[in-house]
Amino acid sequence: MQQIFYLQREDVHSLLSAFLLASLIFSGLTVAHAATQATTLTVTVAQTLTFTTSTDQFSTLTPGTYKIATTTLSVTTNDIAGWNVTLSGDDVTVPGGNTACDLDSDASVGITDQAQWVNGAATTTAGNAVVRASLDSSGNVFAFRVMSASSTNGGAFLVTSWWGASDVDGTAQFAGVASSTVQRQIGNAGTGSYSASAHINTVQYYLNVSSSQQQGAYSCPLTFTATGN
Amino acid sequence: MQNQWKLFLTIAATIALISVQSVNAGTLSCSVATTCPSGTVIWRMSGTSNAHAELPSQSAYTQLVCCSGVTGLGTSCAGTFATALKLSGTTNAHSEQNSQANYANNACISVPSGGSVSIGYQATNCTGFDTTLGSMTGTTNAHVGDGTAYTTKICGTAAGAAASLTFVVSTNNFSSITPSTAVFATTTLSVDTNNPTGWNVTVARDDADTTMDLDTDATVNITDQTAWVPGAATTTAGNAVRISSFINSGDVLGMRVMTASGTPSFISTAWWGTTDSYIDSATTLWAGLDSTAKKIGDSSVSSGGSAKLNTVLYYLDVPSAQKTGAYSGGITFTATMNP
Repeated sequence: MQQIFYLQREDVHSLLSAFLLASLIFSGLTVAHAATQATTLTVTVAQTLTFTTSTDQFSTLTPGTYKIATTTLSVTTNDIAGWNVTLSGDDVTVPGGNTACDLDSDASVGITDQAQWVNGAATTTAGNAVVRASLDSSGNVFAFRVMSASSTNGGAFLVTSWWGASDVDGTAQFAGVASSTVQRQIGNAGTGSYSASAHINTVQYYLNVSSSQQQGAYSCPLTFTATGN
Repeated sequence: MQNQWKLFLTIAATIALISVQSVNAGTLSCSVATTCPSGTVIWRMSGTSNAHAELPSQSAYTQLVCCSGVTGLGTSCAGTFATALKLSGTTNAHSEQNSQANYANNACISVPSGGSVSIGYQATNCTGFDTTLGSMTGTTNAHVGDGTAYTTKICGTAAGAAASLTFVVSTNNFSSITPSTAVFATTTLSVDTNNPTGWNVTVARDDADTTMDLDTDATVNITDQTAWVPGAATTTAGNAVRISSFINSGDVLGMRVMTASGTPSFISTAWWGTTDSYIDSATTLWAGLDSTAKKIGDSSVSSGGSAKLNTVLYYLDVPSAQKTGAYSGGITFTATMNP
């Protein structure tokens, strides 16, 4: 009878096995005191884009002495794919047609445009811009370019293969304003250009006229369009 | 002899675990007393011996057969029940055992669906049953008394239903958001539990930093409103605020439990306000999701036999500089039966 209470290793194993077996059997009866459910919130943040321009006008132009004017472009966007800007002349309805700048008192009197801008297929491919010395009509034209200096947080927008590696005369490249029917990009900030701050770039205008250009006030209505990519 | 020992151990272990499970279900316990503050009166008697009986709905007699120990115990003669005694009238009645067919007024003992209850009549004692409800002079036309009055004992056993909880959530997500124009989403919480002390729900965001991240770059976050800190009780305000008091100029993800709809016992208007306004309102309060689970509602009663629905409402706005793209964030809800 005393042997009944003498535990051997096998008996301990049997005891543990019995508890394990019983636990497995009755685990299915255990009350579920808590239940967990997972859910996922999703949302797509849409693009916002704020675009403003500010222009410093030409001063009075004496024929034969070119003048420079600028328009500052400020773009703020949350678009992680970037943005691009196009420029067109409101009066330049067809290539080779009316000019960008007309005499205010007689719209039939224009200022000759440099050959209209045709951007490269990519921002790494040159367009048709030329240095100042190569401008049409002996340089007596209205032309523009995007400056590589005068940029704040705008590096991604600059295309040196289009407008020259610097703003130095002889390197800086100009083109004519495109028709409003064929708005052409003057810069494109792609993926990776995101910044919470405004991107500021400057468009530089070149203007000279021949001595025979009619005296008076001229205006050159232009349209910039910024678009999220 | 060793085989006998092993068999004994196996049986002992099994019985031990069965006992643990039984504790969860509760054990019926009855006694005769003049008060029954925390139990259920099954029938009432004119005395502890040689007594007439009446149904528990009557009030002529002061000796109460008071039972307790099983959650959801009742006196319904429908559902899961057993007839303890059959009475000749609703009061001043003779009694008979439930196998007889002379009397039409039944004193019943009932338990919630899923439980079990039985009544038996034995001579001398209630061995094999949980408890003794009383005793009686015979099988019919009998007087009754407490458990010691007569040889024929009225015995009972009951077990409550095991508490269960079913929890399902369903989310209607945000549409696309244009920065500075708030959008809303909802998650419906469905809880079905028979737990008599009710349930509570907690919520936590899965990410450590913020709830929602840009899918393509988890370092790009949407700001959370200040993380929810509930009041110590559901009657005490937490740190939820109205929309005009949001941090980050309102460009946040916030959440609240809708209070104008839903289950009154679960809703805490002290926590979330009394209205469900989608614009700034002093009576619509919001808070942020925390990385640790925080209680958002607590019902002190069961769902009452069907699923109860409550809705979590989310508010989202982002600044104009928030990067475009698809954002997502995991949220975990946990429903727990109250102890």
